[in-house]
Amino acid sequence: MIEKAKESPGGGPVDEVDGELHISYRQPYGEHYGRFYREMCDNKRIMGVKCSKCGAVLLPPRPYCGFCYEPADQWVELADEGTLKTFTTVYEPCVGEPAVQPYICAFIMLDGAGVHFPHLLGEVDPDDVEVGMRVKAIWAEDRKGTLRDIKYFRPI
Amino acid sequence: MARAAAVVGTGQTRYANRRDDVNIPELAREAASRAIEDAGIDPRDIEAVVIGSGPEVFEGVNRPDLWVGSALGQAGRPVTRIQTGGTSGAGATIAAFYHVASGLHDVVLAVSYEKLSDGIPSYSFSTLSDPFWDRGFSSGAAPLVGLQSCQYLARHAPKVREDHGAMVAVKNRKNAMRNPYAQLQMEITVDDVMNSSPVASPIKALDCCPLSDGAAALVIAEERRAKKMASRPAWFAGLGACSESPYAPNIDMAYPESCVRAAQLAYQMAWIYDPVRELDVAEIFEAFSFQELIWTEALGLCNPGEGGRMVESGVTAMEGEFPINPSGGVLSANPIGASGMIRQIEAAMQVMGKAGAHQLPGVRKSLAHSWGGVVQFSTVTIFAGEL
Amino acid sequence: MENASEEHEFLDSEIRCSYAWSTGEIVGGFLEALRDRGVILGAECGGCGSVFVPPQSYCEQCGGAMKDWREVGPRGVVLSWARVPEQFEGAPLEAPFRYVLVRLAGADTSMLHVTPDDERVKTGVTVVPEFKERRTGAITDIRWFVPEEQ
Repeated sequence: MIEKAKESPGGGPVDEVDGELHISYRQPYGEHYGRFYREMCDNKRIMGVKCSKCGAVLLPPRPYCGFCYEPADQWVELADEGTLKTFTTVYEPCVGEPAVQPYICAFIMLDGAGVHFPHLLGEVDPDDVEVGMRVKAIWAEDRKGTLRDIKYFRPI
Repeated sequence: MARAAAVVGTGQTRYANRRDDVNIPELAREAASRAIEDAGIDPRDIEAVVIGSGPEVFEGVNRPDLWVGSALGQAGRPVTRIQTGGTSGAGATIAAFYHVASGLHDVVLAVSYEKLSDGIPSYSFSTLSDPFWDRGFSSGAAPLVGLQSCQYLARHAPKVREDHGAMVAVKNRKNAMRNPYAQLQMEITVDDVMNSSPVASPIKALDCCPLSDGAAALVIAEERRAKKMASRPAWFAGLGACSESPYAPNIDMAYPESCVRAAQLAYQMAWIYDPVRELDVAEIFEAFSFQELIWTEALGLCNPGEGGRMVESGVTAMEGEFPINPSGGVLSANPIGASGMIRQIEAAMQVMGKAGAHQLPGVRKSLAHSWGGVVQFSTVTIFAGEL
Repeated sequence: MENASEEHEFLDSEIRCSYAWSTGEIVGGFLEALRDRGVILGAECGGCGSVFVPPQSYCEQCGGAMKDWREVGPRGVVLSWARVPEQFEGAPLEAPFRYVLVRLAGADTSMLHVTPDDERVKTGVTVVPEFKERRTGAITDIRWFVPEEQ
């Protein structure tokens, strides 16, 4: 086994090297996400697509149903309210996180949808949240075409 | 028909919050050398290498297979890398099994590692999801499993309670005290867990796995060689791997279909009809305590809603009728890309009779499980002591 | 984190994460010598005698362990080179510059580094390292290699 390298007069061992990964991305929305976010931004509407075989209304919208492998070519407007499927109150700060802690992450089954919609809950005490409760979207005034065009969902 | 194949040697590193005495290839090599030594073979006997590790952004090294492979004897041999998040390590073993079962190679090395302390895991997690969809809300593993655990508890309340998760955390940390490689070896109480700081409801600090640096490796050989190399090899008796979409209609995180299906495939292959009777032990990928209950049910080891009773009654304890996670599980160490393989190593060691202080008596068949992605990759591996 | 462009045609996002990579003893020793003493250390394999620069703890040729440090260079021979005429993101220097594979005297491996865009940098030419004044314990403590003045 190799001996430790000769002691240096300098600043101690070099046991780590620091670095950074910094990469920018520009990704095309494509037809489906494009239409979805235009509708969110311009018309405050949440649109899904319906599978031509199983009939499920899919979110996020996409050209094919990944389960039937059939086209999902019919656009369907969904309600901006639904039922809380599950939630978690997040207390621990994480780098790169979307909101100030504590905040409530939720999966919401919008009325008419076959897939949950991921979002946040607001205007509610975490202790009062229950699976199965009815919630409604609160839209942002300043909309940019992201999921943040909805500020959060709040109990009805 | 596939050739018979077995695990003939295993190796693990000590799991730690930070291993600053080794770089990534050295970490992987440490486990690989131990596996090769355990198999009692010369490194030159290895015909192919399969590497498993998590997303590149964890360590910030792209094409890590290039760098790590050179430490694992890739020169002159084929190298494959598997990356499917938490199932990477188990996937590497499965791919190595294919190499041997297909007849292409006789002796193959599978190595997996993660060195989470080199990067910022919580940030890395936030980059894993669809940037057009839930990336803005996908805030790490704990919130995701918080959503999963909440759905599970809501479905089965009052039969399953929050303190059932705490019981898993207590059991597995206690089991870890017998495992010299474990990172968290703790004697704690249910109250300690229940009173630990909230992370992402219902998950509290002591319900969480640690972040780990570590590596694992195993050597797989075909029948004739395996019998020479090991007195009691761990034969691959059943394998199942299954995926599902995170945006499937009515996806059910509380009873994930990918896990149910992977288990069915593995049981079919191993001719197992009644898993809890025919298997002797299971190693389950419980990154958060409630997951042990969820996976126990999805693996068919008990009925849906019975997971809480399994831990509360002591069935899954070290001394119970069906021990789960004798190694201490993922709650005691989680080098993510290696964790699936570590479950397989524990399951293999149990049938080989090499699990040391956490060896259970008379293990004939064992199961190893792993999950990855956003709860939609699942693998199940079944080992048997007899061919 | 994410920003939608006006027309919803593109989503702009970024990944920005910092790292602290463990060096391990051998790479750490190499970087320490570079920083504190301005010398380049290789490691000699106990099995086949190959000298690795930069050093690593394992020999990928014979599987042996390293037995000794060897001071190598500072002179080295250019085994191959490539001129970078235009700037790209993440480039180690302002373009134009040259990438070189250098085999330092006493080493059995070649090392990737950079040189100024000097006409004389070609295969077979002898180069010497220029160290930075302020060194941090990184491979970039060698600013670049330059052709040896005759």
